[in-house]
Amino acid sequence: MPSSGHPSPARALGLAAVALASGWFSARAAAQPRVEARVDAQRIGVEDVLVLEIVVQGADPNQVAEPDLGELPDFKLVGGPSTSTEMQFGSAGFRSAVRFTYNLLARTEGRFTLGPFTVAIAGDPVASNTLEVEVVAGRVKAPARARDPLGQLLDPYGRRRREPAAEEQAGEVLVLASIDEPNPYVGAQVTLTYTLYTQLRIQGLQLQEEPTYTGFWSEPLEFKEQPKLEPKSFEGKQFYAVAVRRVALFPTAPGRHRIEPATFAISVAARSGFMPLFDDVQTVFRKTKELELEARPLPAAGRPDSFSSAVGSFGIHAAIDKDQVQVGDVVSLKVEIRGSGNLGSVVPPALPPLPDFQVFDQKTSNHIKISGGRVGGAKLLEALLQPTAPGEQRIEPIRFTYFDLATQRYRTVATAPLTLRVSGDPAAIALGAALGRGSGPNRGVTMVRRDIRFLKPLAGSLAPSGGPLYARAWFWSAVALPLLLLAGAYLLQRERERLRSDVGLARLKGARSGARRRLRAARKLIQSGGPEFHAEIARALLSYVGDRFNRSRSGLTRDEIGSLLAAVDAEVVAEYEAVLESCDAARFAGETSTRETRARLVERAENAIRRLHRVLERRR
Amino acid sequence: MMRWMSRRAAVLVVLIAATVGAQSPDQAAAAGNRAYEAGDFNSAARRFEQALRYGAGSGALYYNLGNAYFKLGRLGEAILAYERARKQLGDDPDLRYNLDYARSLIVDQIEVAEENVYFKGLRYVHQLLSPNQTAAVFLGGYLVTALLGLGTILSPFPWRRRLGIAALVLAIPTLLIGISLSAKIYSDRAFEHGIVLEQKVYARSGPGANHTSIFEIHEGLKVEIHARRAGWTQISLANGFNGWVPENAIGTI
Repeated sequence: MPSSGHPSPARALGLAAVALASGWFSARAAAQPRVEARVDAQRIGVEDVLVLEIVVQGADPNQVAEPDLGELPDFKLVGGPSTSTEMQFGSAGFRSAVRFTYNLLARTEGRFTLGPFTVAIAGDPVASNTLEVEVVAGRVKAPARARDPLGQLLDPYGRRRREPAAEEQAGEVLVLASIDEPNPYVGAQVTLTYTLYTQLRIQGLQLQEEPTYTGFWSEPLEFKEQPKLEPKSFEGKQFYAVAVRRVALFPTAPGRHRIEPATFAISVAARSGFMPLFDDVQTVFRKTKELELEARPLPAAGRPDSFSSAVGSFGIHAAIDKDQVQVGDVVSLKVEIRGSGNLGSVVPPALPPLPDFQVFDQKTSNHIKISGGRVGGAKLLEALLQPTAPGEQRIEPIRFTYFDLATQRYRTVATAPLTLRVSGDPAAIALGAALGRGSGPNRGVTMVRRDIRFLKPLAGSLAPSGGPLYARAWFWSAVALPLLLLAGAYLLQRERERLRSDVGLARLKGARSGARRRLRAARKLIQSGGPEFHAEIARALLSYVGDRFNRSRSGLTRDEIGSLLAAVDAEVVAEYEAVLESCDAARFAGETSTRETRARLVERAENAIRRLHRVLERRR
Repeated sequence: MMRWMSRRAAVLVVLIAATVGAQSPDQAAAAGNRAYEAGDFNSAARRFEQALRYGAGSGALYYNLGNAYFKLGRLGEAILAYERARKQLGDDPDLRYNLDYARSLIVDQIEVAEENVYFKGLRYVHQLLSPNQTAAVFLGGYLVTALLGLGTILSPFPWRRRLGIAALVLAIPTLLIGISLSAKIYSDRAFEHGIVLEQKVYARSGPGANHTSIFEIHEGLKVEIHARRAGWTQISLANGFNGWVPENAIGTI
């Protein structure tokens, strides 16, 4: 079977090898590609499989398309194509052949011409030769041996004795078709049985081609239980036989009817003599013989006018779903014909005259049931009745006539009469009739006919939406951005929580920014001067160290500052203390200062704090 | 002479008008609507097709084209146009009605296992919105949920609790819509669907007319597309049948 778009690994490897060679092919395009058709036998039987090979030589295998078999009216394709590619490097250069193999089964006997078949090579069609095949009845071909790669693997030198496969063995397989009644009445059941006769072990069976059963109404009969093989003799030989398919046929017209041959594909196993798992399996085809039967016309004597086509044994029953309704309400009438016979071709009986009803929506359905190899079941006629007049309305018996096979006579059966009490206000009914409604005032709305809804107004842009929203980059950016924001907010909040719960850490983190803030305030006071300027600078210096070491600024003494900054370079500490002393001198000793000295003091304070901060950060 | 010139001028004006008319998808679509209203469904279909060729392609236009095809008895093309409209309009009641009606007229009624009532309900809700509508609703819900989440993280206590509850309440439907959207994206990427356009098509066992016919399908049936090869398309039906049909027999939704 060809691949479905994805080559198998083995095929992919093959194609890769072919692809390597294709470069060579493109360089050497001198050779003309050739298509040759071959069959494995010129004379076959209708039950023999004809192996057709179409071989393409001298072409790049990558450029070879599957052959076009065209119409094969006289043959049925039962296998293939299987494809193989052969490549050879020899003294004559590189040679390749692509081989397509098909299995065909002849539909009928005769002499036939196959081909020419066309193969597209690099897009150009190349035709093959034609073949003559003669098809005769039965089987004439020696069966092909099934390949047994596993057997070869297990027994590479062929020393193990292997039993012959399928038809090589002394044994036969055949399928016979038979009917239980060669001269039935029109409409009477004839059971067609296909029986498998075998002297070999069967692994599977499939109906390859079924007749069309022209001139019959047919219904397959299913087996309730698994059929069993039974010993039987046929033409003096002993077989195991089993019924494999049964079909109930009902002739629809008198005269001679043909039942065309059926073809079965049978998988036959031959014991490998080793393990059942390694048995050879071969498929053989068997065609049944054509059968004929003569259908008798039904007797004309005593045939009532009401008879249509029913043959068998039937009963009839009718029911309505309500017995009291208003005028205009709807009542469902069901008529059931139940029994055994040619239900599929039974024409349901006509309803009796119903002058005070509107009848609509009549439907029939078949409910086929197989019982004891006979076709039966029920044919159901459903109709909706709408009473149009009040009073006690009667539905007269419904009659049904069939031909009774048991008594060989026509029989008419009838339903019991049905009564329906219809009430309603005559005035309302008259008003309804005057308004064209024809029934009572409380009638539901019914749709008379269905149709599609109307056009849509073409307002706004008619441009297509430009692909789905989710295929656009901005959509996924809009999805990702909030995630980043949420992650950032979460980290920020966590940091805030940490600082809130750890005062020392919060002061440490805010030491530098606090000192800067104070120095900015001091810078604004440069112009005016005064004690507040120096006090602000001192506060900046002290609050930096206090925050840094989580100490109260007001309680910080010089000694304490010295011990806190013991690990800091002496030069940095000296500068820090010098600025602090300058501030104290100006604040408490009344030293005067100019605008320039104040500006320089701010710079010194900034520098001292920056250097101190750098050292402390390094040591953290 | 004057009469000849005026006749030529009139012809020129008509030609210019026709050219200008033909260049506008809006005008072609409006002409299609007018032709449909006048009962000229053939012209309507041609006008709508023209509008599509000029770059239009809204859900309403596909819907109207489906209507015109339906009136012309081109059932397969009508269903294809409705399906294309559904990609943009979602669960539009008129579209659903017309599509259901068109589907009820197709020959093939594929029997599949009856769905569980809960699953059927979920499928109904899932198909209420088109993929674009689902994406827009999801994005809106998601952004509001994210804003509420931001507020929850950054706000002080009493607000934090209120915003957190609101975010949670909104997050649940947003998550469900997100699952529906994921299913639609997966379906869009993983499966390709098509509609049978020819009255009757034989599906074969392989990509070629020489392969065995294995089943028969008819106009309007929706199929899943699996592969394409040499002018043939591999399809499968809802009941699992799988085969190859000529590529031009299937219109991709």
